[in-house]
Order: sequence, then structure tokens, then C-alpha cells
Amino acid sequence: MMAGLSHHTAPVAVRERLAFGPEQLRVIVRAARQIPGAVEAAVLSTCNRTEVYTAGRIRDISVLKSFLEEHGGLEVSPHLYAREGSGVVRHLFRVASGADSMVLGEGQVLGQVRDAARLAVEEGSPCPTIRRLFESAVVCGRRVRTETEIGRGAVSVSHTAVELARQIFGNLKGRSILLVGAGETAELTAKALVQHGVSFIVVANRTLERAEMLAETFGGKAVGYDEFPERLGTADIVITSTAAPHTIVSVETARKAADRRRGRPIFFIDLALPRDVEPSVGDLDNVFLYNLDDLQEMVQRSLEGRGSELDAVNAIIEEQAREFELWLGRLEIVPVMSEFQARLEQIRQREWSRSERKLAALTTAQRETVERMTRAMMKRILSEPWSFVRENEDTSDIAAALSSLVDMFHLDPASLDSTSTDESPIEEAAG
Amino acid sequence: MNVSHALFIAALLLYTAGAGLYHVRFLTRNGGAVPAHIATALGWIAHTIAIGIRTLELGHAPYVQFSEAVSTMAWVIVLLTLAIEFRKRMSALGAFSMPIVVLVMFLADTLPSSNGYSPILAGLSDNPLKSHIGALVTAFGAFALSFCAALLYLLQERRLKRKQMPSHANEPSLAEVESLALSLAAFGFSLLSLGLVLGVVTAWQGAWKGQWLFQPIVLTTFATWLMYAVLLFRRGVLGKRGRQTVYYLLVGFVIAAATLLFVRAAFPGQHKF
Repeated sequence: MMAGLSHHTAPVAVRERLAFGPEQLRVIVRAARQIPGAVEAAVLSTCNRTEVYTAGRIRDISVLKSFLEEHGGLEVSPHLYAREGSGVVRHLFRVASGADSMVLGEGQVLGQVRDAARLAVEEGSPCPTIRRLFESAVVCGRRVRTETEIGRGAVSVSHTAVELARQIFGNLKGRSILLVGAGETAELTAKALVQHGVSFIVVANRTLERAEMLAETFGGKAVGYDEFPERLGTADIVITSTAAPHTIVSVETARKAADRRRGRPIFFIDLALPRDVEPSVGDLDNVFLYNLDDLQEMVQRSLEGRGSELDAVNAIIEEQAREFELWLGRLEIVPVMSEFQARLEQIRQREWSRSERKLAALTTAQRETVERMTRAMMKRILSEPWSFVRENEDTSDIAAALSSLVDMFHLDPASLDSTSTDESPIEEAAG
Repeated sequence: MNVSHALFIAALLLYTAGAGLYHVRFLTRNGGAVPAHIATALGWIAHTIAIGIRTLELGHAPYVQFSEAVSTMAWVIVLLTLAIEFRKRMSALGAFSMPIVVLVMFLADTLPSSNGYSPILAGLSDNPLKSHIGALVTAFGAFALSFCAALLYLLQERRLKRKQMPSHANEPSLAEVESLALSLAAFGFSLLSLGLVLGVVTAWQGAWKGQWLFQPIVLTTFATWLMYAVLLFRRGVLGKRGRQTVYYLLVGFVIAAATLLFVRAAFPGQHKF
């Protein structure tokens, strides 16, 4: 079972109520394991979602919702959603694939799913079902990222600029930026470029104080606004975002800069509205010009491209979910077979007692042979359901067969423990 | 059809498949380059064995006749393509180089060939001649690949100018493609220089004495050398880069290809190729 909330159902003000720090998260995981009937528990916490997953014998899903209300207050209640059974598997696999993320196809969630599983193990029992579920989700997420293009293309203006810079210059290490103007998007773009290796920044702004402040943030240098045309030829990447009512980089200025660079490319990122760089600058040799509209259009194309991958993503999710369910279905046979083995042993013992007097005439060696034979018959009978489960890939068939076994041999369902993984003793007994 | 020719044809077919697969990947922007690598690598292995058998048959490396030299050049281009693919993960290059390889192989197969040396070549001392031809064959192979990198550069530049995002995340950047093209040109230029020096030495020592200089093919080869010398001077000394440099690479290879294909056919002289 699982319950939680995400950006799909709750505004940020509500999501904040269930946003936990690392230490708090440990407390919540421990608390989740105390939910009546929960044998295993994990909490998935990302910027945009908080979800509690449990395995065990919780009878009513409302218990999980109440648990979240306890920790987030009653305000979270209308925003909660819950899943059971196969719905949980598919939901988590979808989340791990980035198909449920705010930015479609983002890859960070994969690490967060892995962290949730690790925390569940650290704070709880071995939790085999939850661990396997989360591990399978990670496998599913990885497959989706490698086999589809859901993660392809940059989906923000700043990252699109980074991608383009990489396409032009390759490794950005040692490259330089000239930041003209100090708009917010320009700052974000410069930050993204610095994160990807750009090492030298010069900031030119009408207000020198603002330029100095920005330059200090990036460990760069501030210069007066009037100096920027001189500096154009020295920078690999020029980001403009001034509030000037007219263009500030003419074709002539750009040509001079390009000439000074002797054919080394120059990448203009014009984030200003109205534009700072004359559009025909982009026609010059070895000069690449992208304005805000160009970048936003590319972001849009990336998002559309990612959206068109959803069918392929869903197919992988379905395949991985079936594989997990098959594992789970096979796991359920363990407690049933434990019971079945005990029942057969009970029958064998009873029949042995009944025939004891008739077998009294046998020698010790003969008695041992007969007893070995009865045990061998029992093992043979036990091996049949195992073979059936091994060879069958339909989880509903397996569930139906197990249910029949429980009914026919009056096995005690109350003693069945679906979380047991101790297969080997029974398997050995089944021979 | 003998074994070496059968293997040669198998190599030609596998190279054609490789060229097709590289192109499909490049144009559809989908799928991995592994099938193209496999077809090309298998073709190269078949080609290598064919060259090996031919070497045993002739008793010397098969690049003395023009058709053999052309085939060896294709072999060099494929080897360089595969080496660059594995080292730099630049599978887009194969989409350009492999069609050239197929053309060159086809040319090698259709050109007349005979066993042994032609009379004029037989009169020359073997080792400098072989080194002369070997160096030039490799140089022209490197120029062909440099030409392919130059084309890739122009295509990538066009995409960026047209505001199109790259199709593959691991597509090479403009800087990488330019650097590769220039490295190949420099490599080819060194071998061309060596080949020319060896050629001059061979001609002086042999029967030609002073007549070698005015052979049309020798003159155009010097023109090729000059073109690449100017290009490398511009890059190395003047620090020039970018689109103009790429144009030099294109023109350089066009002169080189014309030298091999047309000048040789139009002005048959003492120099056999």
C-alpha cells in the first residue's frame, strides 16, 4: 500500500507540511513501521512529493492516510492519494522513471528512490518486499532513461544554453563569459555554465555595485558598462540582459570582436527584451546567436519530445511491473508451502501411527525403508506445486493455485506470512 | 575469382552495409552505432586478410599498382575511422568516411591490374619506392578523413545556426570536430612531406634523373602539399580557426583527389601513379 501527495494534487504550501529533513525522515520511517499491520515501511521524499509505502497486513488504506494527517495536519487530507496492490508497483515505477515528475523525464528522482530504500533498510528490518520493490523501481528508471529519450534535451533556458555551449566548445573548462547586464535569467544561465566548468567571468553593468556583487558571487571581475564592447572579443560566451530600449551589440561591433578572435567561435546569449544583439549578428562566420525566444522554443521542443516517449516508457514500466509481481507471486508460495508441508507431515504421522501395529512384524531395516518411502512420497507431492510456480509466469494463475491449495488442505491463512523470504528449507524439503 | 578477391568483395559489401548503417543512424538520429561498427570492423578484417593473401601471392605489399594502392588507402581510411570512433566516440564521422571508402573500393575493383611490377617501377630500388607509396597512400587516407571531419563541421555549424538541437547527447562539438580535422591534416601533411622527399630521392637515384619534376602528377601533388602547408601555417602561426580553415581542408582534399583520379588519367607520364 502507499499514500502520499505530490505536485499533481497539492500546492507548495500543503507539500511543505509534509517536507522532512534527513533526520526527521528517519523518525517518520521508524514511525511508519509502527503503523498497525505494517511489517515493512519506506518513505519517499523529494522536492515535489512525500509518499509512504508499506508492506504487511494493513487492512484499510485509510490508516496510511491518517498517518500522514498526523504528521502533516488535517490540511493535507484532501490532497492525499493512495494505491494498493499492483497500483503501488506501477505508481512507484512511474515515479522512478521520471514520468510523474514536474519536469517530465528528470533523473534526480532515481537517486531519491534509491535513498528511500536505503533508509528503509537502515531504519527497519531487512524489509525484503519494500527493498525489492524499490530496487526494481530503480532498474525500471534506468531502463527508461537508457532505452527511451524521455531524459533527452534540456528543459530549462539555462540548461539549454549549457547544452549549446557544449556543442560549440566541447569541454567548457577554461572558457570565459562576459555578462552584460544582470537579469535574473542571465545570472541563472551564468551559474549553470560555471557549474559545467566555465572558469572566468567578467560582469559589465550600468550599476557597478551590482556588477561587483555578481562578480563576487562567481569569483569573477566587474567592469564598467562602457568597457563591454572592448571585452567582447575576449569572451567565448557573451550573455546580455540589459534593459536598454535598443540593441547594444551591432553587426559591426560583433564583426570586430569575431575578427579579434581569429575564427574562434563566439556564442551570444541574448536574454533581454527588447533584444540587446542585432539579429543579423548571427549570420557572421563563427558567431552563434540565440535569443530568449530561441531558447524557450528549444525548451518547448525538448518537452514535447519527452512527452512523445511516454508510450515507450509505459511499456517498460508494465514489463518491469509484471516481473516484480511475478517475483512477489512466487514469494507468496513460501508460507503456503510451509503450511502444506506441515499438513502433509501431520497426515503422514497420523497414518504411520495407525499402521504401527500392522508394521510391527517388520525388521528395523524394513521399517526404515517404509518410512523413507513415505517421506519420499511427501517430497514428491511437495515438488509439484513448486514446479508449477516456477514454470508459470501468470501471477493470477499462481494466486488461484495457492488459494485452491489453502482451501483444499484447510491450511491456516492466519499463519501465512507473505514477507518471508526463507525459501530454501522448503525447497530442499521439496527436493 | 580467387580467395583474396572474394574477401575483397566481401569487404566491399560489408563496408557498404557499414556506410548504410552509419547513415541511417546519422539521419534518423536514432539507435546505437554498434551494428555499423560491427559491419565495418568485419569488413576491415576481411580486407586485411585479402591484403595479407595478396602480399603472400606477390611477395611484397600490394600497393605498387594503382588499384592496389587505392584499395590500401580505403583500408587506411577504415582503420582511422574505427580508431577515431573508439577513441573519441564520434560515430557521425563514419557516415561521411564510409561512403568514400565504398567509392574507393569500387574504383580499386574496376581498375585494371596486373601481377608484379610495371617495367618502370621494376627498375627502381624497392625500399624507398615502397616507403614513398606507403607514406602517400596513408597521407591521402588521412586527408580524406580530414575532409569528412570538415564536412561534419559545416553540418554541425549549420545546425547550430539554424537553432536545431543536436540529435545525440554525445555528438561531437564544433571544437572537437575542428581539432580532429586539423590533427588529421597535420598527420597527412607530415606523411605527404616524407613521401615527397622519398619520391625525389628515388627518382634521383633511379632512371629519371631530372625529368621527374615536370610530371603533371608530381606538380599537383606539390600543389596539395602547398595547400596543406598554408592551412597549417595559418592555424599554427597565425592562430586562425573556424569556417575558413575548414574551407582550406575541403579544397586541399579536392586537389588531392583530383591528383589521384584525373591528373593521372589525363596526363599519363613516366610516373605511373
